[in-house]
Amino acid sequence: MSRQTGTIVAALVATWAAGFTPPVEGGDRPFAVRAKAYVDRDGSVVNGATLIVKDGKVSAIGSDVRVPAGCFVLDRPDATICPGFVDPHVTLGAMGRTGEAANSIETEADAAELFNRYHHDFDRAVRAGVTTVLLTPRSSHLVGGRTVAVKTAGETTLTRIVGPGPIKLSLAPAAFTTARPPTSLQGGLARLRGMIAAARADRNDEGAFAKWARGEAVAIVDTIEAAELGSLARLVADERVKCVALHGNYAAERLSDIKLTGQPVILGTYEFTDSLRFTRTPVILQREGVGFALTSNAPRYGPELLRIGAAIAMAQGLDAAAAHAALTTTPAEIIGVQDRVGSLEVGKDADFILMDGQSLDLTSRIIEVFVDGRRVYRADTREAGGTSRSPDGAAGRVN
Amino acid sequence: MFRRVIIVAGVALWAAFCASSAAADVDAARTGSGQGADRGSIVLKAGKIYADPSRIIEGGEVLIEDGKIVAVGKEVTAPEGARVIDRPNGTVTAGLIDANSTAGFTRRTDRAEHEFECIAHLRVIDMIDLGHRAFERLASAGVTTVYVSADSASVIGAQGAVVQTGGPSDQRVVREAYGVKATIGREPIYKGSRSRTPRRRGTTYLTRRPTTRMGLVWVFRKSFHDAQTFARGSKPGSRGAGSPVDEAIPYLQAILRGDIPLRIQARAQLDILTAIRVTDEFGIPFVLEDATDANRCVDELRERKIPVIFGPLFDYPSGLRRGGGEANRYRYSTPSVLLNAGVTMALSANDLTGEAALPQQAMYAMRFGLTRRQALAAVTTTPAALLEIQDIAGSVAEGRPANLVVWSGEPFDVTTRADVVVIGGCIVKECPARSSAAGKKGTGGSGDQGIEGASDGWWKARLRGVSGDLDRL
Repeated sequence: MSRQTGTIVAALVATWAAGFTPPVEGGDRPFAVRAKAYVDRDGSVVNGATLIVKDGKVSAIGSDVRVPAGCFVLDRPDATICPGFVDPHVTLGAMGRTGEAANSIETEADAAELFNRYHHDFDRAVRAGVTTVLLTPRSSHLVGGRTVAVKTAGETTLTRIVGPGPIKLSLAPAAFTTARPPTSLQGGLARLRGMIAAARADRNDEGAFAKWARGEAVAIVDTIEAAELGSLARLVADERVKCVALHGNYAAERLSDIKLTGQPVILGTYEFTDSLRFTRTPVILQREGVGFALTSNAPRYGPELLRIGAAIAMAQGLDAAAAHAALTTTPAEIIGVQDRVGSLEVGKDADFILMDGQSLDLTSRIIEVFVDGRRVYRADTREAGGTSRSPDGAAGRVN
Repeated sequence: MFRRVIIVAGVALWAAFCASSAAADVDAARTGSGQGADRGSIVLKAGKIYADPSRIIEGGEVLIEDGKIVAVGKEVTAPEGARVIDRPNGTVTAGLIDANSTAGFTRRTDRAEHEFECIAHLRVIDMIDLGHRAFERLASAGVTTVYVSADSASVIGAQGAVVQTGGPSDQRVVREAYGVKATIGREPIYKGSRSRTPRRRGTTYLTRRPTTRMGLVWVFRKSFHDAQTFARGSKPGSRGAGSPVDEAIPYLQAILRGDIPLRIQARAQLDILTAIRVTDEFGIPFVLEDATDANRCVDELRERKIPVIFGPLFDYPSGLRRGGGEANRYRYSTPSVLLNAGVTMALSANDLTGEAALPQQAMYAMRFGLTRRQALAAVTTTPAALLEIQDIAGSVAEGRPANLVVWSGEPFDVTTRADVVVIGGCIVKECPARSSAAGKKGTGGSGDQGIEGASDGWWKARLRGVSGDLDRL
């Protein structure tokens, strides 16, 4: 009975999801996008943009790139081309719970197993301009398991998985309950130290935890409260491991701890109701030379908050280049996928968004989103008056 | 967006932030203190310097350079450009030391690891928050060094830490791990994951001992018994729940050898006597913490030369002390009873901070029988000796880290407050001097004017912050 129901529900979901899958366009044919400006790797905005996409990759980008004859051209004279946003911490698109309840230590759990590419959350992420996310186990575990970087759109599960991400740890209060050991931060740290020593002793251990323990990979560590940043800094100093603090809400107040980790921080989520104490953190970190990425923590909060978070930080004085970096290059580096996404450079994935204004202006609209060179989202650009300023008005032409 | 709990927890500091949000204020605070500016030369001049409880310099001066005390005497030669703080009505003492504090614990539920009843292998330093406001409050009260003692939820708890309450952030930790705390009393039974009666067969960490004082002492005995057995090279007969975990054994053996000092928290007379009895069986010396009923075990304590870290003194027991009837027979006179009987005693304010911290404890102790010198020793030299940091803290002498307090009058008087607090050569609190009309030159003058000034000074001191990082915002 229940299995039958499950099958029917799954079939319905699949049908429904398929019905709403964004139109896939572009294909393997090379094409060019001409726009007003594009956002460069360093976060600066370059006027006059021509982007050529071939086989889903960026084949050329610049202000003086020549479009080859016969190439299909999208003319977007008012638009800005921005690399797709990268969110370094989501549980978006996961099927079911994202934490094993029984144990606090789940080194072999893999978030790739949770990845449900038909999940409607991905549509929302695409609409928010987010093209790559790190799907993570939840923070209720000392060692949550392996994370996975996935594209928010694309044809098959395999092509959408970019690669395994860092291991996820948590020192947050949520990781410790009296119901299962370790029940405390001090017990958790002692346990980690023991596991690190064991992993170092066994050179054949190729697991994600062992690689982190040997200093070959980074871990994302949930440190939502101030106390945990101190504990994390102590762990990094003692064990020489690489840790990225997640939700480093108190990073600005614990600068020495954060600097000790030697890694960027993942900040957020920021909302308009957040106190100055938290929203000032990005600009203080920028001043102190500490890198940071923003997260929306979707689906708990909307993926739109990635952009909004950057705007809130800019309202406190963060400059545009740093805000761009926090949405694109820095998270890509944290995840370890900087060779493929995070910036528009020759050879990288053609994941980009077209905005009808300045890229970090909240009144700008995301009009088109491309993943792997395919258009996966196009805004409904009919205005209230019924006139169309649709990009398809000048849909394209052959050069 | 952030969980409400965090926001509520941060409300107090947030208020300070609001006050400091104007950019000019923040810049002033940034340049005015922290690791750099205030670590230059400082000369403290005061009506009286209590170099240590037995050495008083009338009208003396202290020179601080590079975070250290360079000279103490009637007159010191100040280098050019030295900052001079002159308080003719004030007195100088060493920064106070609280040898049994809970500062820096941020969480309500997981202050101790409940997986094992004996967690001597764990360290408190791994979980305390050195930026916690309790440290700031302690520093502003004149307490510069604390021993953060493990939580009382475990029969044999974690290793504590000796930390500074402020000053340069790279010098905050004096001893990462020092001493192990055991608790005999009600708290290991009822605190944390409360042990339950097993419903089915098998004992887990949720259903093991102790559920009574008998079970508690069983766990204590079993831990040291197993450690002794392993040390002899054999294996204990049973290693079930309640036995010490393997990682803890070396630390228990170090306690047995006397390499790691043992501290036992016991309040009721019954528990203090139990502590003496079971440690006698293993020949372990220990320091008694809390010790509300110590006045009822004076002979035993003196006979065995057991030092006591007594406190806090209170009007009426609150918090955990209130339940369980362990702290109902408190006496304000206990510190003087102990000292007069020849028991080594340090005062502690435990979880009390701010105005309720050590100076007030010393004040009560003086009101109920201690001399000022005895009280000063009980909050400086005695705790320093008990923590084995007497070479670096507890008295004002050349070559030591500059942890000093300038009091507005005689220390521990009701009308006296900490005016200037220096930790590691950083001025972490500085109230403006009271106006010269406040009294003639000499000590003890405490005019009733300057209340406004006092509150201004307090806020400025707050703006400067205690933790180095905050200063730089």
